[in-house]
Amino acid sequence: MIRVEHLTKTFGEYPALDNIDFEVQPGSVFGLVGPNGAGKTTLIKTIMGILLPDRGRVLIDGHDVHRNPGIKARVGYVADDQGFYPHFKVRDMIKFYRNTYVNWDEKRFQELWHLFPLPEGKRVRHLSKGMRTRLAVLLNLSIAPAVLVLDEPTSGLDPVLRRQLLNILVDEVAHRQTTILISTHNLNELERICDRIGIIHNGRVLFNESLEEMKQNVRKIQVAVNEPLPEEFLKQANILKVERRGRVYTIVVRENPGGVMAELERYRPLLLETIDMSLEDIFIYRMGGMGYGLEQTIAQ
Amino acid sequence: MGWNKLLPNKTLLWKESKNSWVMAAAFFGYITFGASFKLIKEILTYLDWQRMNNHQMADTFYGMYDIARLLSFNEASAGFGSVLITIMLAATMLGRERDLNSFNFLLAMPYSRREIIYNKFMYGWTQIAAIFGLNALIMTLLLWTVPGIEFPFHAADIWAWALRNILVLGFVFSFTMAISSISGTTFGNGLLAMIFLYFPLGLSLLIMFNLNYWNIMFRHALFLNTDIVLLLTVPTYIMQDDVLLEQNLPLVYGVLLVLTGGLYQLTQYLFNKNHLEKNGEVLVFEQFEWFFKLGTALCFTLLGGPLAMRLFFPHSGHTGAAPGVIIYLLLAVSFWFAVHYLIKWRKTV
Repeated sequence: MIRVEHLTKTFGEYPALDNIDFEVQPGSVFGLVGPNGAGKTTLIKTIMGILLPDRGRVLIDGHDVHRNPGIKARVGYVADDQGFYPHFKVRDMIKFYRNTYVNWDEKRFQELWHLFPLPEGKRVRHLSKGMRTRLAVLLNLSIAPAVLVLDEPTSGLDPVLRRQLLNILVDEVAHRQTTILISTHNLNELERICDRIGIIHNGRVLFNESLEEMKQNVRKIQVAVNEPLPEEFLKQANILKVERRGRVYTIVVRENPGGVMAELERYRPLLLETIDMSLEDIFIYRMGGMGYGLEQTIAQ
Repeated sequence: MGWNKLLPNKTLLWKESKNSWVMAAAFFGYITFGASFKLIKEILTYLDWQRMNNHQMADTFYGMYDIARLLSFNEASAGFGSVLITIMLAATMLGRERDLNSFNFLLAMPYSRREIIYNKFMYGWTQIAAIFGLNALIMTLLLWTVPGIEFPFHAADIWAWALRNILVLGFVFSFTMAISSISGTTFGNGLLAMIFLYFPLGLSLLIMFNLNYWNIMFRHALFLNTDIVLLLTVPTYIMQDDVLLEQNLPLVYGVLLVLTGGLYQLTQYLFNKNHLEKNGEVLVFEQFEWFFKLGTALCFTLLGGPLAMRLFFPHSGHTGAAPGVIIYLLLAVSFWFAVHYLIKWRKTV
């Protein structure tokens, strides 16, 4: 289990993390989402003990990561920029991990090695970005982690490998009860594997909800009416976005979509239905609601 | 730290050796070439002369006296080279991790910051001790096994040479590591260590340069006392004999050993305080910047003062104090702002 308590970190005057609190339950997958510069990587680096917090603490299975680094023997870490020594050969990296982690699982390593074969004699600097990510995944899954922290793990992987990696993560949770914290910009991937999602913006976790809650809280309603809907109705605080094409309105609503549906019934609609939204849509509309413009989000 | 944790971590030492083997090999080659190899070469030359019955040449045997001089500190270039390689070895140990961004994955592993630093120190100290220990052993064996040569030194001299070098270079290594814990890149670490290690010698030379220009004879002033300046410039301990031989050697080297231990603790403290978020900057701790700026402005003013005086008053040997004070102040302020904006510019790049 990962427990983050009052985590605060500033870079000079800039608050990178602002009193962050959340928990990742054992055997679950927690997805961390946020625009560039929101504080995702800083949060992950602080959770891993790479950065020291100004205030607050990170507990992994009840142990403070910064006071008891030994607990990291049970934590795997896969980052976008892993920082492996470029002059090390693949076999050197394997040796380094094998000798560092007491829980090294040789059987698991051999299984994964067949799945993600890599040239043993090649230096890290000569590996492609995708190969380096594969090496990081291979090594960090071979340590039999109780907790796995991944920062943009699928960047640089081709679609086949990406799917393979996601399947492995699902398998880790299902068969080994591994706790996973994953940060990625690819929200479609998160949607497939996450139990809960945390949206981080300006160093604060704005939402921390299960995928179901998140989907229920933000809904897209399509309504066709003979007469235009009144402006006052469309300006309600919980209506995030309105699009009109002729007599058809598409309304994005957060919180209490049922109430909006009931109100729309009063206008005798020709058509009234809710449409499922993807996590990506929810993220975009929610961030738009927090003053982070749709254009900016799409520009990411 | 518990006693069991005083044992170095084999995996971290292995990692250090993989990271620094080029530097270590260069260091070993340099010392071995200047000590053991040179002794072997001189012995072979001597034996050749003996075979050729060239007793006159064999009697003078100058080469062997070079070895004797090396053992009694006199080889200044050898000493400076050792200091330089030691600085480079230490500067890369922390700097390279920052340059490669490898602290990210190292600190994500189940190693504490203290353990990482401790093993870096153990690797560096062991490296230095092994290089000199091995050379001393080879030289002692040669001394004992080659018959018929009157060596102008004893085995004790060889081991004293090795011990002096281990102590001084151990200090230089620790000093550079301490500097590296507050500095950024490998280059920055090395440069700052060089500046601060030779600071007493450099500053006294600058002061003497200025006093000479102004014809102020202040020979007995404390800060100009050569003995004190050389004692404060630790790297010269393996290059100068006349100052040190007058001193209480066990006391001097004892103090050096304590200082080395203190520098190790200081490095641990500073590295633990260093939050690493400012990779690549010259100085990681902003609060040290004023000291850095002040030192740079002072040194450049002392260097540039007499030169500026010659430029503005080329024909007057003695211009009086007032123009001099103004020029020195202007230089100090200019250099302060130059460094200030240089640091500011670096932060934006």
